[in-house]
Amino acid sequence: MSRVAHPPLDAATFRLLQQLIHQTFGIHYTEEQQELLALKLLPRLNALGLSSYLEYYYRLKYDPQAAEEWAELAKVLTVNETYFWREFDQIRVAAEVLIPQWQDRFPGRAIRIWHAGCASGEEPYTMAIALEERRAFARGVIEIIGTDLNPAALEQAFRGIYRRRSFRAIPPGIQERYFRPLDDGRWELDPAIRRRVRFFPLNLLDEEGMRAMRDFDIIFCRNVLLYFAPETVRRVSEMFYQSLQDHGVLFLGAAESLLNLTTRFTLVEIDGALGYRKALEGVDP
Amino acid sequence: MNLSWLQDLRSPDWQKRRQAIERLAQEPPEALRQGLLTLLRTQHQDINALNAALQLIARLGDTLLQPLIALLDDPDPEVRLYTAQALGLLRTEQAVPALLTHVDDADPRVRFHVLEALALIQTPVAREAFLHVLTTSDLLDLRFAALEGLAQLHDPTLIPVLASYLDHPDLAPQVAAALGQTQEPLALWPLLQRHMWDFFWPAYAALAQDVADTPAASRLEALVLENVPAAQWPDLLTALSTEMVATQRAALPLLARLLDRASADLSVPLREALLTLWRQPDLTEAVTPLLAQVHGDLSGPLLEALQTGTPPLAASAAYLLGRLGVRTALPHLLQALEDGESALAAAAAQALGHLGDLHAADPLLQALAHPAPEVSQAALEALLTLHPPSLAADLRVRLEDPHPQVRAAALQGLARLTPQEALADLLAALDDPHPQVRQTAVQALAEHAAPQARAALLERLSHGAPDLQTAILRTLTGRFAPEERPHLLEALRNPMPWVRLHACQALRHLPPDPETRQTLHALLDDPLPPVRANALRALSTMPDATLETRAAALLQAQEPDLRLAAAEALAACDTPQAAEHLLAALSHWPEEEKPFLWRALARMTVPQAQASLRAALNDPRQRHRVLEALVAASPAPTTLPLLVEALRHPSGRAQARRGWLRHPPEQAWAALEEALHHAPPHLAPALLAEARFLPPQVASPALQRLAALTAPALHDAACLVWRTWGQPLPQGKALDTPNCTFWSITP
Repeated sequence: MSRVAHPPLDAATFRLLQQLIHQTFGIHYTEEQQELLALKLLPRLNALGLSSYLEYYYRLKYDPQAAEEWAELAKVLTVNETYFWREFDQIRVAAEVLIPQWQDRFPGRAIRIWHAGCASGEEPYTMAIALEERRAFARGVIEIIGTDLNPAALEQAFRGIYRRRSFRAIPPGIQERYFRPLDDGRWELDPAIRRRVRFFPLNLLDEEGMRAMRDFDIIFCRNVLLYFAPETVRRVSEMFYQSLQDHGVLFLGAAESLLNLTTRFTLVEIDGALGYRKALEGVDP
Repeated sequence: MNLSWLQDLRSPDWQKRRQAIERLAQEPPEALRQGLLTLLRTQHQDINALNAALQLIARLGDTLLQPLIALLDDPDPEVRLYTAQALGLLRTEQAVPALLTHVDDADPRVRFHVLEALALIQTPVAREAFLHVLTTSDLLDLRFAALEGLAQLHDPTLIPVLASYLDHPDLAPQVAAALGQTQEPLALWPLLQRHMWDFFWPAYAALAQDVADTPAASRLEALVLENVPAAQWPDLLTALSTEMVATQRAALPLLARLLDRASADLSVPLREALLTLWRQPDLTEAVTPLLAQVHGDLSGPLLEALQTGTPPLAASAAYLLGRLGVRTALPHLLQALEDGESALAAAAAQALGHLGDLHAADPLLQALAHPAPEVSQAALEALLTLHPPSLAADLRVRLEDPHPQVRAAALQGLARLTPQEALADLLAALDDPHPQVRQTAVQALAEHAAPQARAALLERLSHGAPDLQTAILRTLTGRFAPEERPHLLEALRNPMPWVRLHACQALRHLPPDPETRQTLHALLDDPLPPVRANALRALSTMPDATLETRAAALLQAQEPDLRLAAAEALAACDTPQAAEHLLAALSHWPEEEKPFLWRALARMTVPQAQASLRAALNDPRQRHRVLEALVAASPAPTTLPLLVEALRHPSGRAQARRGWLRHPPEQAWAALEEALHHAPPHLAPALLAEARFLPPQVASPALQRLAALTAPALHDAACLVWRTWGQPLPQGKALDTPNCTFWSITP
């Protein structure tokens, strides 16, 4: 028994939507996820007054105003669930090991960090707070950029106001130091930290947009690739390869791996955290 | 052929090896034969080369069969070993006799891989060989391989012999897994009897999956519920908490049944177990309805989840707080109603409706303006449930609201609260400036009993704005009367493509007529592919020779929906030529779309379609896909014999059974009995055992006659059938024997 009833999504229509969504966003729904996709799309069907998923497919593919609907679809398909201090080891390594090292090695050069698929911003802000805690901004310019497919999530990131569930893993004291409680039970991030991070929308399959993302020292792309089909992961990881400096590090989520998908990166352990470096001859890790 | 590709199979770079496999798989197999055999014979110590060669051999199919069989006699045991692997990957019955001659190979490594290969082929011919190894070998690895081979036969008559090895400490996990593969609930009994909870749930999950949608599903649940003592459930539930999610999911229907009968002692561990499962993201949705039935106070964990859980968990908590009537949740739910996560806000609205506290009325009225439509809709439903005294007046005020979605919600609410009074508002709303309000009016008028409502809709269908015409067609599809056909024919000629598309869909539900056919044929040249696809689908209800020609051409269309519609149309034509077109498309359609070609063929009755389905059923690489198509097309006289034929194969048997059981029991038994008369002896027992899924009154008389006449090989199968029916064995028959092992191990 499900809490939500929806029109039938037959195998043929599922196949059409699966293919279309994969081509556009890279997100891959398996046959086992047919019911999940039906539930995710249901609010859009209801909003548009449609009675079938096939009609929704037509709307996405042939309606002259389809661009607006694709933006709405991005909101319902992307997973915005994240929280401060999630999988913190990699952020700790970036703040304590890598960035100080590079600030010493490349004095005067900006360190560039990209959080790809950052949803409502908890991850890049965690990075900014971790760097602030270590006074790293005082030692050189650090650029932190957050991108996501979902503009609505980015709007929330830009506002920097969070509910209690976003703080479930934050260490004692940090919340009080960097956030201000609001009357409605939510907490607002210190504007000084908020200004440390820039946000803009980006589809990781948009090759033109991805070409503009260059010279990063660190890329975080965590819990994003697991929604992609292997060929899409290969494609996106190749674009990350182009976006990273030769010494740069790509951090993926704990459940994600490039093993068996590309030989362009080498898995490395840095002070207890796993990351990927470019597989280059003669580059000092 | 460029031989460098063959060299690339040995490359240390796996991407190169993969490219080489893909490239070489396109070559004629004869050109590769010698190179691959040489590689297997002389370079098998290079693990990269060996794996790549094995993958390629599996792709090439039976063309390498004979040379590989010859290699099984190579003096080098490693060559024999890898050859056995390769033969297993071919998954062909033709390799079985040669493999069986090496079950006693001098080298135990070869014996192991021969058993594994036979397990992959899933052939009942190897049954005795597996049993021989299990009972006589002193090498644990070989016994494991034999158990895996027996498991892959999905043969319920093996239950007694498998159960006899459950007390072997090293073999028990594999034996339990093999019992889970027998597709027969009775296989759980030996585990229940021994309280082997560590192995219980994976076996249960496998059985539940295999007997789903069959009468045995309830037998499986009953066996567990009636035979696990109350004192043992806490241990069983604890064991479940550490299982894989798929296993846990399979257990949920059983837990739902357990909830109905749980004693007070059991309710606490059961509640805790359900909460543990519910907190797992992949199970939250599925466990939610179970928690709604739990006895006892859940408010603590639910309120905690509402405030700190992930949005889906918080949404589920909100829903449950409403369903369980936790009145102290009111302020928290009101806060959640304003959450940025629309799913949570919608669940909160729903819960506020369930709680029935009128303090929620004003916030819910405010929520009608929520930007997410699902929240607005949930708020309206909650208000209709709460039904505050001023609701009609409050909604009427909102008919003038500047937000179109508030106007739409108010209109919808009034249509349900006071339909007579709302009629004038609904008719007026057909001219609202916003399409959402107009669509809502159409939907409400379609449900309205007043004749003016229908008349207004038909009038607007002819003369309204395109969005209104589309909404009317969408809403009334399936509800148009034949005398309203002229409105639909007019809509087929509408300049707006979406109107034409929906008119096509509506016409599928009316009886065919010449004018409709002619107009729809013209739409096969429509500029918009979805209109062409839906014209094809509508014409499929009235197939003719022209349709066949047009559909055949559209099998090549770029738009996938058009291709799928063309396949459906050809299936409806059901001619030899239409079948040939579909079969030809199998060679060039994208791999992911081929199942839809098989589905189309499964709906046809012409011999070409039947022959192609039968041939594909015998190809292990295509069997599952074809079975899926046959099940989807069942019940049908053409699918029944094919499904019964498929019951003989261990691989796909559970799938075939689902389709077979969709037919009336008398027909299902008649087809099975017919197949039994022609089945080779090694396949007959498994076929006979399928009778246990039919009602005894249908199959019992014929089965008694059959069992009395046939060989001892059928004895165990017949014994199992009677045992599952819970009937005494027929007196005076061969079955009536103390040696029937099923009696000693079943409850």
